[in-house]
Amino acid sequence: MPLIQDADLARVLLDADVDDMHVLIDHVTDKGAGRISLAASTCAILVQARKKEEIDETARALVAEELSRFGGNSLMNLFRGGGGVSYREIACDVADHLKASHRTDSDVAGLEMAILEKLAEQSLSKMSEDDKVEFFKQFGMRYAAGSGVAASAGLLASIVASNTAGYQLSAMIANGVVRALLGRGLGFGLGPAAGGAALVGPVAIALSVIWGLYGLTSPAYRVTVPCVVHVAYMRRKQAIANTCRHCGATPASGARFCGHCGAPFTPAPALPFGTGIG
Amino acid sequence: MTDIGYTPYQAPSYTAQFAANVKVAMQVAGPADATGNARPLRSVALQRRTGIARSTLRAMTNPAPDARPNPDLNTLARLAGALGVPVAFLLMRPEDWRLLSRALNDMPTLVTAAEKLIGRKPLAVPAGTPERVLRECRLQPDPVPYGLGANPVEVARVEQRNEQRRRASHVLGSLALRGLPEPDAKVFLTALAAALAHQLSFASEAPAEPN
Repeated sequence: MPLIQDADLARVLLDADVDDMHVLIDHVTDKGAGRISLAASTCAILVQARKKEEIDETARALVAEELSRFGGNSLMNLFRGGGGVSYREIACDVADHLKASHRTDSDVAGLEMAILEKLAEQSLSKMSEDDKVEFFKQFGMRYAAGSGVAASAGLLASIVASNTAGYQLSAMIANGVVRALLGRGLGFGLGPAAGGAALVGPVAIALSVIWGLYGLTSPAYRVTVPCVVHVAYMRRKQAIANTCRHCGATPASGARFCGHCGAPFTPAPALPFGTGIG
Repeated sequence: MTDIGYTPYQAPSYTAQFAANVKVAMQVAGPADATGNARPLRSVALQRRTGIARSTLRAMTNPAPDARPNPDLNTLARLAGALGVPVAFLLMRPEDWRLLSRALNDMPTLVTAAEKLIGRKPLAVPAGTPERVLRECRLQPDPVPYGLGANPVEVARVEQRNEQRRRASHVLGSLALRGLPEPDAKVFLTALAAALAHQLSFASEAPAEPN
């Protein structure tokens, strides 16, 4: 029997890299310092699990459980007794508050991307025109300085729609959030660190802004928003690891070449930009 | 804080809010009809109860475009008494109600923290306790995100919000705990003061939410 009941979280969390689980644990436990609405015993188990090389299924399930509970605390649910809610409901709630454009029938991945797009939009609004040019260049896009909000929104939408670029964007935002809140970068090995840090400052500002805006002031959102952003990145990473980047087909598990187009299959795509790890 | 003379609470809008509040309250404050539906409280009945002339009432609730009715506290108190609500409630704006509901939603976390700090001790609660509750919940001071240091404007904004929250928590703590509440009320009132201070620190920045 799977320990994680929530189908939207089960695969992502059970297959997640140790590094990504560390990030989630740090978000939930406030870097191990504990939170007032986190049971001391739960915090101790998670901090203990974080010290090990491997994160076992129980700890992964505990993260899912706490996420659902924090989600429950953030929704207007004083009289629901703070019970847990589904991950989908959490993502939907965050998307609603950020006024992210999504349909009620979007799947969780769609909701997450809508949230990331909104965060990117908020971050872009805090960037200088030169930074914006640099930002879009990393996605191989041309943005003429001074083109305005509509132009950058259009480019952003095409990034979100693209499989690879969407993954890159999710990595950049997740990295920005981790750097802003935990003070470190994501530990993935990347290409040349050219301009990758451009988004970190703006994401930090975007975060400090959204805590106050959109009714995201409840203390529980300090946990759920960073976690949703990171889970979005993890989901994108797993999705892209499971598709051929050449033709988009899903190869058989363990395949080294795409059975559809014959392209070599790289399970962990390199990011074409640096994320400013330092 | 350098914003001398700044206040988000402007008197003219209060006049309009008060008029709207009295009007909507009067629409349902009368006796029920035969089927149990609420009926309006007629201004004659209100005059009988409060001694406020109907013309005065009309000038307050339906002011002429250029008029600035400014009812005194005595009038406010009599109207609130007749409508059966505290005076402060007649002055609440829709955004104040929303703020109150958001603060109540944050209560579970803050009550836990207040319980931890105050416990059941019979001692008086010092005015600084709501701020300590917020600190316990990591809501005060709001951490400046890493990477923000290069941007003095944004840092200043976070710091100003923190200072505003600190002051509000002390003011609200003094107000809420003034009546020397009984031991179990102390925890909740401290948490409520903290919750309101937390929400208020964002209220001056946040745009009005759509209805």
